[in-house]
Amino acid sequence: MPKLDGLSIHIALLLLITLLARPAAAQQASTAAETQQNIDYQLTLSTERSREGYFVVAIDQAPQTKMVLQQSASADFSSVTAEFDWFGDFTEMTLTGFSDGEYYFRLKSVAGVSSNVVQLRVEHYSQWQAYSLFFIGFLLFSVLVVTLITLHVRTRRQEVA
Amino acid sequence: MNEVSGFALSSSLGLTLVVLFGIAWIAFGWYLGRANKTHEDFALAGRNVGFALAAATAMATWVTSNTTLVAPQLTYQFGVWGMVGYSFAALGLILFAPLAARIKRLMPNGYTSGDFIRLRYGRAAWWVFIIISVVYAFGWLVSLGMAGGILLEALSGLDYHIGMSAILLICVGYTLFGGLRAVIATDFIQALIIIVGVVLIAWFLIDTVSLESIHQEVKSNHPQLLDLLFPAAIMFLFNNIFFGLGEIFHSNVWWSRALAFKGKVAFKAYLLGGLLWLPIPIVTGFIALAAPQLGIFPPSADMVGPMVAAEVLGKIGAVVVFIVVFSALASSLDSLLAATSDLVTRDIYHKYLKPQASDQHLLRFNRYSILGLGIVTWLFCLPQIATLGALLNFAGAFVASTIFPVVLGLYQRKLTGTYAAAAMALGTLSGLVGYFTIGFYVAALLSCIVSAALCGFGLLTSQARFDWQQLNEKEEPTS
Repeated sequence: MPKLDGLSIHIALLLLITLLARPAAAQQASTAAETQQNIDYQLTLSTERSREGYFVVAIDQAPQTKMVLQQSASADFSSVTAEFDWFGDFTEMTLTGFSDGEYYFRLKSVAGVSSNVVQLRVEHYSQWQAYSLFFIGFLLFSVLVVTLITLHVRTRRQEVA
Repeated sequence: MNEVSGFALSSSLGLTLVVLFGIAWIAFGWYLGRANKTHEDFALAGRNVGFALAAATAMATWVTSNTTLVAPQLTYQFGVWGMVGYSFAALGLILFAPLAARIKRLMPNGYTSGDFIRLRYGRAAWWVFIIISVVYAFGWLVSLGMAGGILLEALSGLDYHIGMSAILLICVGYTLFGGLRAVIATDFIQALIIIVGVVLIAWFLIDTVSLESIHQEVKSNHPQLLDLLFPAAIMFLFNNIFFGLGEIFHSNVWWSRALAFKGKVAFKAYLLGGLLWLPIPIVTGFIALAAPQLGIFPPSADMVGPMVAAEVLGKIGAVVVFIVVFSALASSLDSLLAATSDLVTRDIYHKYLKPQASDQHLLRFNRYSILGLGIVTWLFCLPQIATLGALLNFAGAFVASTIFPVVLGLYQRKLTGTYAAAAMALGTLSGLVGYFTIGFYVAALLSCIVSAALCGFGLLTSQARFDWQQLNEKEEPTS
């Protein structure tokens, strides 16, 4: 067994190291933002076809200024259907709750920010696939509960008898 | 919110909270650990845990990164069904209540779930079970370590590796000193913190962002989240239930508690723990539905809970979130460290490698196991390999295969070790196939279906009659 006093000292030292550890670049990231000129971000998607209506949009470098992701139903962005603020200096953003359809995304063109356009197709599982698994699950769960209760009650009766 | 960085807490405040918590929990663990004289004291708290502590530890241990980070994640991904479906994991605790009472009666001298499988089904099934247990334990341990890193990163922008290392260090520290006694006592305090904190966060959220505005935003721009016929969410529902059942029915975290609880406390404690747990994922999950309204789109879905809470409640709210989630993580991490080290010490080291080991020798080995598990978990946590939800549900493919072998093994004399081993092995394989070919939301369901079918076939064809007395294994005296 580790000696308690030695272990205590090691734990205290490790906590001290943790306290003194250099914080992530996140804290100082965006103050010099506007000095950057014309950064062309490369957008990518976690998938080109989402079966669940959620997905991750990523950029190739940490944002240097406040950015907005635009969504459109057409590749030329003739009509922007939604905008999403990019959070902090993270390089990824998770979007969710999308219905079936084609979607296009790009970063809003403002001073110093531009990006490529990415395309996503959302195609949810069919209802019959979902219901099949649901009813199989329901059936199996019912079997388990009935089995458990029946066996437990029967065993208790036998023990009492 | 911090104007410069966009994070609710400064990194130095985040670190200060970690250090203060660390010192407090480790000191408490050391204080409680002074009463541990034997291996049984350390591993099973002297088999003398009363009702209040028992119910609190059942509830608090089940409130974990699953509930505080993954419930919001799944709500963010699957909408209303993610939230409601997650709360059904309470069924695991509720249905384990009769099993816990049965375990206590059949194995008054038992130590671990591995003991049961070995005595009931023999070596082949035991090996399959141990592999499943170890994969699950590491999956859960890694997810908890990751959650600590994600929490601090989401709230303060602090590097993931610092938060992850800190929570592991703290939990290993106080579990090492205090054993199960410290784990259960800290769980009791953590349960109180969790309940009060979660209610506070939900109250402030509804007060700040109205239900109407949340509903309107989600309905307009993220309609799938409110769709009760959302296909992937419907597929996920029973998968989550079987995952929860598999986690609890097989894991030594819950078996060791059933064996540690005093007299007939186990049934009532698990039942109450489950009922207390039921509304918590609804509350934590609801938080995620406010994210679009607040303009929060997290880098990773598992960060949505703390990010929303911190945005709504500001710095004080972020501190509350930190304390609640950190307590939840700690209450599970310590339990898992203690239970897994018991499994390694008892099932592998004592029963397989060194049967003549003395009580003091086992106590020492148990502590080394905790330390070793902490180090291995830390190594696995270093690369942030998946989201918490995906990582946890990978383990679902393994644990759901144990549900029917455990239930039938406790009540039915006819199921043999061969069928139990085959059910667990083939169930796991089927679950993994589903995980990789369809998605994480079907892994546990497929695993359980195959396992149940094999167990059913085994019962129909078997003529065996297991003698329950074989489960009451007497300890050989060691000094």
